[in-house]
Amino acid sequence: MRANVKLWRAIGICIIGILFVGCNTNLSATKHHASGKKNKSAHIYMDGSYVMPDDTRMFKYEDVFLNFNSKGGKKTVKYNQEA
Amino acid sequence: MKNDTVTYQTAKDTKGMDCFILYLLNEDNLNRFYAGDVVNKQYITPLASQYFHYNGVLGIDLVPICWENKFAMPIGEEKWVRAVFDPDKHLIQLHVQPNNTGKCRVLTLVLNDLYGSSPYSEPFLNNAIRIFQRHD
Repeated sequence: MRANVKLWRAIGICIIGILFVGCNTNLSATKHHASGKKNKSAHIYMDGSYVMPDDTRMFKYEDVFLNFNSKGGKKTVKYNQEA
Repeated sequence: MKNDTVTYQTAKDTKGMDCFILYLLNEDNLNRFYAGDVVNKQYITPLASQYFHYNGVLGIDLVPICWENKFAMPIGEEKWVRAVFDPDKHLIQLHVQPNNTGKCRVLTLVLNDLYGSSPYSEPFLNNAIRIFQRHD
């Protein structure tokens, strides 16, 4: 009887843990997606799964992309903290 | 040439200012850096420093050079980008040369900053700019 109680208690803890992790993952995904949409209009491409055509490097987290055509040019990035 | 000024904002730093964040300088991420990339070497580990040295990644110490009002440096393996840092105005100008190489070029510029009371799990935040140029 006591063994059964311990077993069900362990199962309950596992279920609560899985639900907790799942909720946090969804929140993070929503936040990243929202910021990505916001910056597309500013010519910065925000997508953690973006892969360069000639480069298989892929960053796990958010990144800032500045795209130039073959003619080159000048772009300015403004940052809001002491570097 | 068109001069685009963009501000990237995803998070607040400890002073309530907007900033962009990226955890790049973990040792697990070292193989994502290539020759010609630029990182601020102030907070990197000895292992990371060694990796960057042998793989042509340029480490710069941003703290001393930030004391200057404005400075410029060529970056990239073929020096195809001229970066002009303006700490007073919090601006980085990136001048990209025409690409006659016949292949795409990419360069990563990583800065970082120390936040003792950061809400994130790591002691400092990394700021990264990735510059991509198409070819003809």
